Amino acid sequence: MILTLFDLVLIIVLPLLGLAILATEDIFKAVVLFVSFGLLMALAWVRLNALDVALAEAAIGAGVTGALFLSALNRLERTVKHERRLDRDDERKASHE
Amino acid sequence: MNRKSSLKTERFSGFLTSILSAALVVFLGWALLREPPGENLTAEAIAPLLVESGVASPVTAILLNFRGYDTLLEVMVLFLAGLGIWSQATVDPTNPLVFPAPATHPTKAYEPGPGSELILATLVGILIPLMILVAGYLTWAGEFQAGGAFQGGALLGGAGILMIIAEPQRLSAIPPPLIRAGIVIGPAIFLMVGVFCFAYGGNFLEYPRPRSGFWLGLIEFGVAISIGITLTTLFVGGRPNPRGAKGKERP
Amino acid sequence: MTITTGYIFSGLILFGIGLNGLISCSHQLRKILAVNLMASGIFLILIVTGYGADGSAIDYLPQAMVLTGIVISVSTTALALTLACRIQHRLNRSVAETEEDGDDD
Repeated sequence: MILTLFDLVLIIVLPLLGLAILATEDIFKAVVLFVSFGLLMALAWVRLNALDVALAEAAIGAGVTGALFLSALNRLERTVKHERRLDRDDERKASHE
Repeated sequence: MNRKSSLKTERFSGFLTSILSAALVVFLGWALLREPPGENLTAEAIAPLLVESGVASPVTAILLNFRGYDTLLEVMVLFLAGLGIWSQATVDPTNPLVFPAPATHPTKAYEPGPGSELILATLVGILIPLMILVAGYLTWAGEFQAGGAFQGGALLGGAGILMIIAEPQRLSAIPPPLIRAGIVIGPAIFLMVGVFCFAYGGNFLEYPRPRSGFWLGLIEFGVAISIGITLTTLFVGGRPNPRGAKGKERP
Repeated sequence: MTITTGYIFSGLILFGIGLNGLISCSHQLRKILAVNLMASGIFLILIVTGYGADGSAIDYLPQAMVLTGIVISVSTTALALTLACRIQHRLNRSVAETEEDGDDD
C-alpha cells in the first residue's frame, strides 16, 4: 500500500540492472548479473504478495536459467567473435604470442 | 570497401531502434496507467468454490483445478523442450560437461585445482539428500501454503544440476530408459487422470467431487518428478550416448 | 506514487530495455538474455494487476499465469541456447569469418 524505501530501491535498481546486463563487455559478467537480477525479482514478487511466484522465480529463474547460460557459455566460447570473456581473452593473447 | 558506410548505417539503426522502443514503452505506459488496475472479479468468484476444490491454497486450486487445462499444456511445453534437447544432441555419459572444440579454435584444457573436488564432493554429499527432502516437503505443502509441484520440481532440478556439476561421471551409471521414464511420467499421469475423469461421469479433467484433493496430489507428485528430471536433462544438453559425443566433433 | 504505479513503470522500462537489446546486440547469448528481461518485465506488470491495493482481495489468477510463464520461459531459453550452440558447431568456423562489417554491442 505505501511505497516504502525498499520498494523504491527495487523499482530503481531492476531496470538499471537490466541495462547493466546488456551493456557490459564481459559476457560472463552479464550472466552473473542476470542471476542476481533473478534474485532481486524474487524479492519484488514477495513485495507484491505473490509467494508462489517468488519461490518459483528464485529456483527456476535465477538458479536453473543461470546454470543453463553458464553451460552454454562454456560451449560457445570457442567460436563467437564478440565473446569478450576478459580472462580468456588474456589467455588467448598470451598463447598467440 | 563499404565498411565505413555500413558502420554508419549500423549506428543509425541502433539509434533508431532506441527511439522506436522508447516510443512503444511510452505508448504502453499511457495505455496501462490511464485506468489503474481495478476490481478483482476473479477473487470474489472463486472464494466460495475453494472448499470444493480439494486444496486450501488458492494458487494451487487455480493451477490444477480451475485452470487445469492450461497447466496440462504447460507441462506439455516443458516436455516438448525436453524432447527437442533429447533428440538433437548427444553427450558422452562418462564426461558430460566437456565439449570438444572445433578444429579451427583449439583451446587448452581446464585442469581443476587439487582441493576443489574434495570440497564439492563433501558439499554435494550433504546437500543433495537435504534438497530432495525439501523438494518433497514443498510439493506436499502446496496444498495449504505457498509451494506446489513447480517449486518442488524446480528444487529437484537444482539438485540434479548440482549432482551433474559435482560428479559428472555418475551420468554413465543411470540407464537412459530411466531418464526417459522420468521425463514422461508427469505428462502421462496428468493425461491419464484427465481421461480417467470420464469414468466418473465428468468432462476431461473434471475431478470427482468428494475427494478431488487426492487426484490433485497424484498429479502434483508426477509433475514434480518430471519437472526435476526434465530440467536436469535441459542442463546436460543431450541424450547419453555411450559411443562418445556424436554431433559435437568434426567427422 | 503508489506501489502499483511504481512497479508498472519498472516493468515497462525493463520491457523496453529488453526489446532494444534483442534488436541491437550482436552476441547470441545477449539476445537470449534480452528476451528473458522482456519476459520479466511483462510478468511484473501482470502480477501488479492482481496486487489488491487499498483493501480489495488479492487476485490469484495472474499469479498462476506468471507461474506457467516462468516455466515456459525456461523451456524456451534452454531450447534457444542449444540451437545457438548447434548452429555454431555446424558452421564450424568462427563468426568472425562470416560477418564482415562492424557491429555495435
